[in-house]
Amino acid sequence: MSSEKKSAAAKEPLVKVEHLKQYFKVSRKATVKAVDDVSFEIMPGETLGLVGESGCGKTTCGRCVVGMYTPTSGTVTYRGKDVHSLKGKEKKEFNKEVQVIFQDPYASLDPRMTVSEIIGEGMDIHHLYMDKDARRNRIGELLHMVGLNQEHANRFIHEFSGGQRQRIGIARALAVEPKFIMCDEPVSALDVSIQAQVANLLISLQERMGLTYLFIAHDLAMVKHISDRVAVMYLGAVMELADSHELYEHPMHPYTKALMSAIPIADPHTEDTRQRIVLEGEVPSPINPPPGCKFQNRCAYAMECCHKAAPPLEEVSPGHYVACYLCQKGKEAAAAAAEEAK
Amino acid sequence: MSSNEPIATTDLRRRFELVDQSTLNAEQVVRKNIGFWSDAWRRFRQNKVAMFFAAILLILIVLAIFGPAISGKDYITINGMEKNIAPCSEYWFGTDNMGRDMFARSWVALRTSLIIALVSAVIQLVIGCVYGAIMGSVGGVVDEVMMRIVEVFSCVPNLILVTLLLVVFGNGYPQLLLALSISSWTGTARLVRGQVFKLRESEYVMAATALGGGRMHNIVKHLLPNTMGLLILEMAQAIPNVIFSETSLSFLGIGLQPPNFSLGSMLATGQSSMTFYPYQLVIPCALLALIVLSFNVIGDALRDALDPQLRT
Repeated sequence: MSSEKKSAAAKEPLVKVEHLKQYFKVSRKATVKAVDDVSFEIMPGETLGLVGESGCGKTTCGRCVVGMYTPTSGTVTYRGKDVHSLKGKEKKEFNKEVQVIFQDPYASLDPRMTVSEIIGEGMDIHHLYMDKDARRNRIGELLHMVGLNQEHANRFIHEFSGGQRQRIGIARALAVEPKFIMCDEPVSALDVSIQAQVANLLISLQERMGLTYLFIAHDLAMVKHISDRVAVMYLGAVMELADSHELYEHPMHPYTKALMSAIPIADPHTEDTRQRIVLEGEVPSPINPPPGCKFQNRCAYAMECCHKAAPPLEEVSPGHYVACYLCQKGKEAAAAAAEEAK
Repeated sequence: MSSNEPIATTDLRRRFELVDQSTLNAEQVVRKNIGFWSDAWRRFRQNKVAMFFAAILLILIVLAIFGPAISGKDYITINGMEKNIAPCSEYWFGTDNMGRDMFARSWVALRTSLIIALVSAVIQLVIGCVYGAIMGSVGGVVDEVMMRIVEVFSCVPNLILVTLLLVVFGNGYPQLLLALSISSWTGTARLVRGQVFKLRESEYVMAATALGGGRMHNIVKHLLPNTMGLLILEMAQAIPNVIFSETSLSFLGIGLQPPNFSLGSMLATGQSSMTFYPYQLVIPCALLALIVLSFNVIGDALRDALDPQLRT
């Protein structure tokens, strides 16, 4: 894995997100800043995990990346082309290469369609088969790939369980032979036992087909299991971005630290001694986020500079980006001063 | 303890049978694959009451078409000698105050009411669908303006609007149809608008868009099939409503005028001689009740059958 990653790092990023902002008008005065100045890159063949609590803009961010929403400002480039200015043939090609797996397998499949119609939908749109036999064979192949069988093809969605439905959703995305898949909490609606199955299915598919994932989730353990790198979002902004092991072993941002301390450990003795960092207060409304650092009003180390301007996402150690004055080298002196004052 | 164990195992062996893995065809399709419509029909059939009323409705419709021919008497000839005869072997439903055969007249009246109801319901559905679909798919300012228009239409008291229309434009089939449809489409329009909004935001339409499906693809593959059940239901519920409205209008004397007549105008005449010749009121009344009841029961059963949430 690691050698693969190194060669990937030398390559051009597959997806590049720069200063992405997505605001929604809720009334004449109020605007929800769902995604506020987010930048990251996704290398070919890697899995970028995107974690954060409910309502922090993970899904919105993901949907912007795959072109489902038109962002307020900022750019998303896929293979060097701006995703939101694609037209005609290029747009169709983009739709073929970039696919989505949705969170809710009950809502994302049309109840009036049979499984073969659902999986064949993308193939019909892009004319990916020669004749009916080829279409049927391909659908059988896809069903087999996701762990279902040919006999399921003529059934309706209501005849399946949640895990099976999610597999159908995955098969639908795979039908057009994509290169990049945005997985929008693909396992959170499922039973824990099924979660592992589906996650392992995604990993094995990635190994077999060289897929690139943007994996959105709020389950930290799941993200660690599946991701090469992880970005932590809070209130529409990326707080920390690092290699998944690095992030879990050495979290730097106070918010990430609090998140990591909340992961339950499957060992009663360690679990008993686990120190939880409990954050005070509530997540501020994205309609009126505080100026400066988004996390300042709940941060135990908030300094004066945090109230003034939002800290930029800076590389503090190789591949480890943090948006916190406390961790950034230039501001180390200020941090030390603040510590001393306490 | 140890002496008990063998007994327990043999006991278990007797109770449980070892199953070979090869016989476990968990994924084998046992039941025939059924589509949405055949599934709905299967569940409709299971509803005994609905099937009974469907049969009654069928009989009533057949009688409305062929009924007048059965008695062999026509429904317009006035016979001054045979006024107000109670039901007998000659006149099965009796005669009215002008000596006309009530049997033939009842079926013709039912036919008129049914035709008006059907045409009006179709008009309501078509206008409502087109209007609602435009509201739902365009959205924004257009939706706002169109919604206000709908609100204006549904605020005006229906009876006043209809009376006004019939008084201004006169009585007759086209005017009556216009009057019956003028405000009833607003409900359908709202329903379709809501459905289009819901479907447009649904994840499977999003998924289709992400797959590269255009607007036409989404309409044909997702919007229409998912709205069909709703429309059938709306139709089944609109028909009894229209029958009732038309009956009330004719009963009040602002609906169809002689020589045209419907169940409502028969009720009106029957009501005036209710004390002496009750059958003149009871017969059209019973027909009206039966037809409306059948439609309502069938509508209810359809709702149950078409609702995917109630699937078993």
